[in-house]
Amino acid sequence: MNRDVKESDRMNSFLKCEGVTKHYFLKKALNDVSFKAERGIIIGLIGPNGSGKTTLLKTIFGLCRPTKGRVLFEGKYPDRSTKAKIAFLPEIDHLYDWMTVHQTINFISPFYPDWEKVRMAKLFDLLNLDERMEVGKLSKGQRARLKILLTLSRRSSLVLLDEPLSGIDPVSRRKILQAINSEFRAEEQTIILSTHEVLEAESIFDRIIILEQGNIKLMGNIDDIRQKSGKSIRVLLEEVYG
Amino acid sequence: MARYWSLLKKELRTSRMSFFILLFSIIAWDVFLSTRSNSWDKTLIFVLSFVPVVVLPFYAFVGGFSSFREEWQDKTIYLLLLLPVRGTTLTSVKLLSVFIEILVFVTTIFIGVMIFGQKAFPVTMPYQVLIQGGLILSIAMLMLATMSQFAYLAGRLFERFQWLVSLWVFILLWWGIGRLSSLLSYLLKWLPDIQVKCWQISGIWDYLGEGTVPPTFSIHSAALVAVILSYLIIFFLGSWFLEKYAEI
Repeated sequence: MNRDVKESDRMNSFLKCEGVTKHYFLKKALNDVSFKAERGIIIGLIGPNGSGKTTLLKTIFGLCRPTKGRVLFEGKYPDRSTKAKIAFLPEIDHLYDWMTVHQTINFISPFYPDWEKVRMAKLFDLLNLDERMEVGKLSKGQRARLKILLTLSRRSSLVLLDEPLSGIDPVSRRKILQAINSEFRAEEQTIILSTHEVLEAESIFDRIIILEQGNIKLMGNIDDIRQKSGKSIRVLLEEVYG
Repeated sequence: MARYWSLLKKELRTSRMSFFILLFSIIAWDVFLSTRSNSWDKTLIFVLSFVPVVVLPFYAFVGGFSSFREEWQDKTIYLLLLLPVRGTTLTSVKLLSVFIEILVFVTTIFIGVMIFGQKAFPVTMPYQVLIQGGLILSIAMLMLATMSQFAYLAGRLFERFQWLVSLWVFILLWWGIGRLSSLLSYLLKWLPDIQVKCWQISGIWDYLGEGTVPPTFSIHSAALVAVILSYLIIFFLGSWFLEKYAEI
């Protein structure tokens, strides 16, 4: 598959989605989604439930195959080798309930050559986790914090965060945003974060992509959008979704 | 290797409940039979000590099929598919876990068989027969687990009617493997047969009856290699489905 990738595509862009369309039986989850991203930015992927945010992130990572179009990360189609460079935080609880926090870290970390112990220790303190606790006994907020720790402890060039703030307490939300902010490496990393919590997350975004029913409704630099419209992103969203 | 070991430990830990339930059931069955040794015929007890073997195909089938089904059900498949590892790593580690468990069951069953055999017959059963029988049984169960694992992964390629697809794939696999093995066997007929002189399962009753010298028997290499290749093809195909085409 990678043999089909042209050299120009390889050089051009860090992440490129070209006409990505995804069908699930009769439902169209994504429709001709195209965008490019360079290193060093945080992109907010915004949209209501069912707008295609999760499908788009899964397609970028390679957990879904596009029905049409293509995704290129560093000039390659998503595969095993790109998994080693992309950190993905899924929205659902994907950890083993019977493992302790410590066991979960020990289970996952050896698979990633970009795992940084120092960074993990720092995040551990910041996110206030108890490593002896079983994952199944953690609160929703604690689980979300553990997931963010597992994702940000890696030195990945692309970080995909699917609803990391969804349905959790304000303290956890604050800690997670704090962690994302403090651990973001602007010179080498790009983060794509999907969220409903626009008000809280707006401040960390450089760019936003607003999705509606699988289509890109609005996309651009957050400051430009604010300046042009003279409105906050939240107000804009209310207008877009009625 | 450490990563593989870590995955294997996780597999063994996940299935430990069903493993221990079956292991204790086998031991309980043997204990029950030993309490009957004064009232029941010793040959009957010896034959009954083989009964737990009947459960093994079921365990292997469920082990192969449900090891991935449970990951999908619990959403932990995300964690596995996020790891930058080959599909073969994930599939083989699950099959190895089933194989290890089956080996433990077979060993436990055959220890019982040996004990009851000693009581039932005047001569001791040759250990080669037990090792041979145990290995053949365990490998057969591994093949069954490979088939059911493949059937499940094939079903995951479809958005709807996954159970129906898996069921049909499993049924058709018996026919497919038969055809493929015949073809490969024909292509490999140039392979020389192997002559082995030792006790074998089919000769056990002769041995128990007459105590003759170990017979020489011939292993049809082409058929053996053909069957092994057929299962390897299924294994690699299933792993490829998982790595490249399974969606979550």
